[in-house]
Order: sequence, then C-alpha cells, then structure tokens
Amino acid sequence: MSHWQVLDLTPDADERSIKRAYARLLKTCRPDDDPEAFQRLREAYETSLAEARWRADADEEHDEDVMVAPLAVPIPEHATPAPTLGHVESTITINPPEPSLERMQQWLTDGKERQVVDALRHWLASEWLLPFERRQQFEQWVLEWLEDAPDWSPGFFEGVCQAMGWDENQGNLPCEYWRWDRLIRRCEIQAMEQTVRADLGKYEADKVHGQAAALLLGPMSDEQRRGMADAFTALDWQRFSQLAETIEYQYPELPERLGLKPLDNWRDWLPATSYSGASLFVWFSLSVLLIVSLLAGPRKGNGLGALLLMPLFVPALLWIGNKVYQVWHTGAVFAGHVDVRLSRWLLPSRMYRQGAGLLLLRHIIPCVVPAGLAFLWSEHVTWLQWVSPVVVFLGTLYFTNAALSGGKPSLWARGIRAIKLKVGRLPWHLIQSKGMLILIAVALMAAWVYSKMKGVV
Amino acid sequence: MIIGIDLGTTNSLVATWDGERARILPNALGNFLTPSVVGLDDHGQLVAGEIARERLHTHPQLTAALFKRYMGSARETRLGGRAYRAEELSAMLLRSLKEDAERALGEPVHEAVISVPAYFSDAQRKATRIAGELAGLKIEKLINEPTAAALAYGLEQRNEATFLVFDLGGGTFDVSILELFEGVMEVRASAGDNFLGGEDFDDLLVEHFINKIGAADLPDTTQPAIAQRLRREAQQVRHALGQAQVTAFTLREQSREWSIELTQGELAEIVRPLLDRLRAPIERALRDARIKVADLDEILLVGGTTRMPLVRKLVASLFGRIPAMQLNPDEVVAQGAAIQAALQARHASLEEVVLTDVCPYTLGIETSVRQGAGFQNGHYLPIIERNTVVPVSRSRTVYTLSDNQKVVTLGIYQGESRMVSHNIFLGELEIPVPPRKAGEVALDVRFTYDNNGLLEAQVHLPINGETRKLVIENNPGVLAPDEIAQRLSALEALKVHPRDQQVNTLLLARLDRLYQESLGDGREHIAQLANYFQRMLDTQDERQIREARSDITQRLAHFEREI
Repeated sequence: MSHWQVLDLTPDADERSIKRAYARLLKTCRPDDDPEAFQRLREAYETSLAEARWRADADEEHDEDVMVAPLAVPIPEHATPAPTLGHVESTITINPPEPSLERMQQWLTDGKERQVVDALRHWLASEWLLPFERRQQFEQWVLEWLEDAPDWSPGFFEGVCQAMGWDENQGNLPCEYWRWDRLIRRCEIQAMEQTVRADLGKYEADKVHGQAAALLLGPMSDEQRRGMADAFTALDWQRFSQLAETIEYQYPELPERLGLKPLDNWRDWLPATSYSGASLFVWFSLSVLLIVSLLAGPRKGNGLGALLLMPLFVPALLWIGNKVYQVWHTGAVFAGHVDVRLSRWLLPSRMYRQGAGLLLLRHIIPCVVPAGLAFLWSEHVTWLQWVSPVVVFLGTLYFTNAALSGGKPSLWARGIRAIKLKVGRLPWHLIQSKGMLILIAVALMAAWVYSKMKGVV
Repeated sequence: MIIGIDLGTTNSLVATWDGERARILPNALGNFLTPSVVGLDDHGQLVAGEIARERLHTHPQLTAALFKRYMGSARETRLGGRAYRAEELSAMLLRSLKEDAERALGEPVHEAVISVPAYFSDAQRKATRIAGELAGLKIEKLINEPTAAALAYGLEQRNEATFLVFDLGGGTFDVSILELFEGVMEVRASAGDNFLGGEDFDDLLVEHFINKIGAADLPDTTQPAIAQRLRREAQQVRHALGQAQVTAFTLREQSREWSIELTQGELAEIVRPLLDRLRAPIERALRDARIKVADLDEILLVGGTTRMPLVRKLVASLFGRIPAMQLNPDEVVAQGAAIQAALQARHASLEEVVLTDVCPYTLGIETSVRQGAGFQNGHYLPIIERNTVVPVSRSRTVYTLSDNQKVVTLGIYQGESRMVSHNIFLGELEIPVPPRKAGEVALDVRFTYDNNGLLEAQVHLPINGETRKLVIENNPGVLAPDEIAQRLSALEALKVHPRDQQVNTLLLARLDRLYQESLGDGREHIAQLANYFQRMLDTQDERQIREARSDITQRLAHFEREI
C-alpha cells in the first residue's frame, strides 16, 4: 500500500487536499486510541506532504530560475522599518549599528579577527538585531562570510560561535549538519596544521623537539633520515605513528597545505617488532642441514650423540650469533651514513626503500654468516654445498625484509590468519605462542630422527 | 468527571468543562489561584495554598514551596520530622486541589488531566504521574502546558492558523509552535528551558538587593525566614514595577530596616541575562518547525511572568508585533487541561478536535564510530529525532563491535549533542548476545514514545529471535513501585486541615506573618487585632466571627498599603 493509498488520494494531490484527507482520517485513528494506525497515517501524511512540497518548489523554481540574489555585498533589507512592524518600532527609528556589514566582511578577508568578533558582539547587542527575522538573516550572512573567507583561525571561529550562541552540544546550529561539519573540519584541519607547523618550527630551532613531524614531513636526505630514525626512542615512534595515521586517515590534504611531501612509506620506517621469522628460519634450515650432513657424513658412530645434542646446539649457536649481531648492529648504526650511501648504490630500490628497508652493512652482511655455516656443514654432499648457502642467504634476507616492513602483516601472520579463517575456531592462539611452536617442531624432528636412526643402526 | 489541573511552580489551578466552556474552579477561600505551597500546621495536619504561603514566613521549617523544580530528582525537603520528595509535596497539593474541586462541583473526582512543561523530561513526567497516584487521582493524560494553552485558544478561533505559544511561568519556560487546520491541532515544534521563570527573576532581585546593601550589614540572608521575606518582597517589587516607575525594596527585621530604590530601567538591567536566555529556545523552535516569523498568525503569551511589561516589550520587539492580549495568562493552561479532559471523556458538547503533540528532545543510544584503525566510543546515535510527532516508534540497527562479544551494553540518552557525554543518561540495557565474529550480531533497537511522553526501549535480536524491553533502573529520579505504595500509606495517614476553617486559619496566619514583619507601633496594632480575633473565635458565634473577619481584613489591607 503506497502512502498515497493510505490517504486515499492520487499522487498529484496538492498540500491542501493532503491536509484535508489527513484530518479526515485522523478522526478514525486517533493517536490515543490506535497508536499504530496513527503512525501509519502520520508517515503517509509526512511523505506525501514532502513530495507535494518538493513538486511545488520545483515548479516555482522553474518559473523563477532567472532570479538569483546577488551575494557579493549583502545590503540589509530592513534598512527602514518595514510597515508590518507596526507601531512597536515606529516611535523610535533604529538604525543598523556600526561598523557596516561590508566593513566587517572586509576585515574578515584581511584577517582582522579580533575586530570582527568585537563588531559581531556589538551588532548582536544592538536593538537592531532584536527581531528574529533580522537576526536570522544576519546569522546567514555571518555563516556565508565564514564559508567564503579563505582563512581564519579556530580560535576566531570559537569566538564567533560564542557570540552568536551556536552550540553543538545544545543542538543550536545555524544550518544543516553537513554545512556545520564543513566549518568544523576547517577548524580541525587548521588546528592540526598549526600543531604540525609548530612542531616543524621547533625542530628547526633545536633539533630536539618535534622530531616525529620532521621525520614524517621534513625534507631531508636518506642519510639524515636514517640517522634520525636510529636515534628515535619508543615514545618518538609512538608520536610518529600517531601523527602519520592521523594525517593519513583524517587529513590527507594536510601535507599539500603545508607544501610538503610526506613519507609515503612511513610504515616501513617503524622499527621491526620482531625478527622471530628470520631467527626461526635460520634455526630450522641450519638444523636440517646439520642433520643431513651428520647422516651423510663419514663418522656415523658419533652421529647419535650429536643428533641428540643438536636441539640444544643450534639454539645456543643462534643465541651467540644474536649477541654478536647486536655488537655488529651498533657498529653499523654508527656507520649509518656510509651504509646508506653504499646500499643506495648497490641495492635495488624495492629492497632499499629510501633507507627504511635492507641495508648492506646492517642486514646483508650478517646474512652471510648463516650462509657460510651452511656451506661448511654441507661439505659431504656436493650439490647441497652449493645450493644450501644460497637458500639460507636468500631466506634469511627474505624474512629480515619482511620484519623490516613494519606495519604490513608478515607473510607468516597472514598465513596463520588465512588458515584460521578456513579451519575455524581451533585453539590457534596456543600454537601461535612461540614456545609451543618450537616444542612441537623439536618433538617432530626428534621422532623423525629416531625412526631414521633405527633404520641405520 | 475528569478535571484539568495546572500544577504550576508558583500557583496551581483546577478547571472543568461545564458543557459550554472551561471553567476555573475556586478553592475553599473562593480564589482561582492556589499558591503551590504545602506544609504542616501546629497539629501536624496538612495545609496547602494561601495558608501555607502565609506560614512560609512564620514557619519555614514546616512549609515547602517551589517543589516543582525538583520533580524527577531524588532531592528531599524536610517538613517537621520527615523528609518528603517533590512527588509527595506535589501529591499533598493535588490532594488539596482535588478536595477543593469536589467541594466546588459537589461530586467526587477520581480522574484528572495534569499539565506539565513541554520540556519536562521522562523522569519529570513519571514523577508527575506518581504525584497524581499518591494523591488518589487517576492521571488520564499529561498534557504539555503550551499545548493546553493553544487548545483553549484554538477552540475559540476555529479557523486555520499557525501560532506560537510563549509560556513563561514561575519556574519554567516553554515555546511551542502549533498549526490548526480542519479540526486538527498539530504541535510543530517545542523547545524550552526547565529552569527559567519568574522565580529566577526574584532570585536576581534578591541578589541585587544583597549586593547593594552589602551582605555584612544584613542579618544572615540564608536563614529560611529571612530568605522567604526577601523573596516575597522581590515578587512584590517586580509586580509593582509593572506600573510604577520607581519602587522600594525593603527588608525589616526586628527593629531594623534596610531599603533600596529600584527603577524600571534598573530592573531591566538586572534581569537582562534571563531575558537573553529566552531567545535561543524560540529560535530553535522556529528552525525545527521550518516556519518564518512572518508566517505566524499570532503570538500567545501564557504564564504569570508574561504579565511583566518587560517581557511583553521584549516579545514585541523579537517578533516585530504585539502579542495576543485577550487571554488570561494565568488561567489558560488550566482551561486547556479541562478541555483535554473533556475530549478524553468524549464530551458531546465539544466539537471534535484531534491533538497531536511532539517529543521535545532527541532520544538515542551510545555507539562507537570507526576512526582510522580503531573505534571511538561515546558517539550518540539518535533514534527519535526531536520534534517528531508522537506516538512514534522508530528503530535503528546496530552491530557488535568485537569478536566473541558476549554482552552489549546499550546506554540510552536524551539530548542534542553528538557526544553522549553532553547528553542526559536515561538508562541502560544489558543484552546477552551469542558469541560471533564482530559485526555478525545485529541488534534492532526500537524506541517507542507514547502520547504521554513516556519512553520504552526494546531490543530485538534477529539472530535468535530474542526481545528485551527496558525497565529504566538505577534512576534516582524515579520512585520504585514498592516505595510508592509505602509513601502512599504514609501520606494517607496525614490528616488534612478542616476545610471550613480555612478562612479563619488564613487570617490568623496572615496576622502572624505581619506581626513578624512589622515594627514598633504597627506591631502593637497587629498584636491587638490578633488577640481580638482569637477572642471572637473563642465565642464560636458564626456571625460575630464573620464581622470581625471582614473588619480585620479591611484594616490589614489598609495597614499593608501603609508600610
């Protein structure tokens, strides 16, 4: 049943007949007696009325679309008391207060915000703006000025709101929400711009404050940026990612306003949360190689003891390797400038990523160490001796790279998520904890090795 | 017989439909306006109206006024040995009004339509209903005060019109825009301020007086007796400045006297902050109704405070025209309530008028909104927008926020801000939901706002077909049913001061007050009059008492003009 049928009308009914039909039907379904029937009637009535009004407006516009009021210089329409005001005001003639509207608008364009707010207050306190009609019109002018003016500060906007009595919390707004939101957004983005500008300025001044903004937006060379990022504390990183995220999600137009180009790969710069992927890979590949070389090697007698010790041996080796790497890393950070220059020259840019990705001294050279071990341990199988170092090297590099590209979920985590989606609600969180994973792997390997040994012995 | 009651902050009235028009019923003293003051007399019996108002000055510990301001809150007022809530005080007044009406009509009254400010909240409306219940009245309907006024006005008009009701009472300010067509009285929009009325004007005057004299020179003005005297004086000054250009604000205490002169201009300056607050609700109502000032056919002034020339002048310049003058601003609300009562009873003599009203504020729930990668809490999702015609039932669908969520806490709010922290909390509903992935469980939240301004929230889960309704709990403003029963029996035990004695009691109370307020010779004179009247009462001779009463009343009128 369409809303026209509810009212028992044809769709071309005018406002008057809609009202009449509604009034007639209302007597049969009063709001007190039959709330549900009333609601249906009411909705039909409102929809029909809106349609009829829209149609009437469209017709009118069609007739009068030549008439467009000039907006440039608003002139008060009630310059003389209108005859409808009657004898209330005829005794005293009230004139619009000073300064004139044009003057105020000019001030706003010139950025004389203080004067504008004072003038607004003066106007609002005047007798002239007491009648609602004038006040409403005045309100609309002020709104239009605000929309047209190229620049004003959030503080100024707040002052205007206070003077005009606009208050979002009370629902006292001079216009529709979408128009209001545009003004609020202008305020927000300006406030944000001011903060960022202030931060950049501070950094210019003392190189200590505002680092997050400088790293994200400041124009600087790869070497400088790498050096700066290496000196960042956890708090700096937190600020950095907060700022970057806010700009990315809420104010994408901000960098352009500042005339700066932000880092488009800011997530890469975030410090790697964990190198566990690379460590696990090294542990796993070296263990496999060790087993294979033990099994294939000449001294089969000692093999059993070595195999049983192996689960301890490789982790211990890794632990030592990790410590050594830390020392190396400190050195590499110290030599950051050279490292960045070398890497930019030698590495493909897809891996180098403006200094946020793999670096020659810092990452690639350490990757050679496990590859070297692989080469040494697979000496008994000729083909393996040439293949394994390459696999270990590239694999370690791959996982290091994955760890470095910070914010992006690693292949590892993505895989687990995909499986989780497929398999459903298995207790994956237990497996995901690393200790459990290692235990399972060790147990599986031990079982496999044990079955092999039985066959050999 | 259903009566209409205007339960005001300062004065209350009762009216009934006599078959032709709405008639105001006089109280036991023959007055139409009964002051909204209640108290206990020296024997612990209930007194209300004029007598209680006189006793407000002499026995501030045993009397209470302005309790309408605390409706819907848990605040209690002590009278003698017990603390009473605003509902109970209102119930005492309603009981007295009911008895007066029964006396005037000569038949028992059980049902009533009570008017409330349009901007009253859910809790305040509930409290009003409870007050009626406690007074032994069945509340047929609560009608909004400006709507009632419009009904009384519109019934005489009978043609198509759009008008604005400007209702400034003793404690509340309401604006409603109404449209009358084809026997339909439709409220287009309502707005208001629940704490803006004549009493606030008086407060400002008292404050001005204290500042002018200096608090150090005055006796302790927070003392109830003195505060009441100042208030009364402020009210008199405000009324006097309606005509006179200049008047004096005087306080007498024991043998001392303090006085300042006030002109109309000064009064205007003092109350300016309050007058400024009148603008915003009107603007909002106009905006919500999408009506231009030029389209309004009439401006109706309702409420005693609109008698102030200052307010009339302001309204005239705000709207650029003279507001309608033919109404009695004190009585029109009660008349409207009586008409509504008659409509409710389908009185044959009344031509059919169907009234539709609106819900004055937005009602909604708390939600979270996606912001960047996370969620931000505390956003307001309106379900019923303000100024929607009631009864209305609207629903919105919301979804769970996190994986395996077991319970959804639905906060229900009233207000206009987009953040719930600025809105009024009405209640909370905890809904257990089946654990699913985030966003998989949908909740259809339905709000139903009925014709009496009471809200019901209902949540339906399509996933398992469960439905839950909200019983608003933990709201200190609303009494629980068992508590109501308990308070009802306590109130019923309270004896009412005998009605046929009221005239004499009032005179005694008045003599008492004047004795305290006057000094020297005047005081001596009052004491003599009081003694004389007491002697006459002791004779128990109806004729002698009546003569003495009229004699003393005349002398007192003369005496009060003198000082």
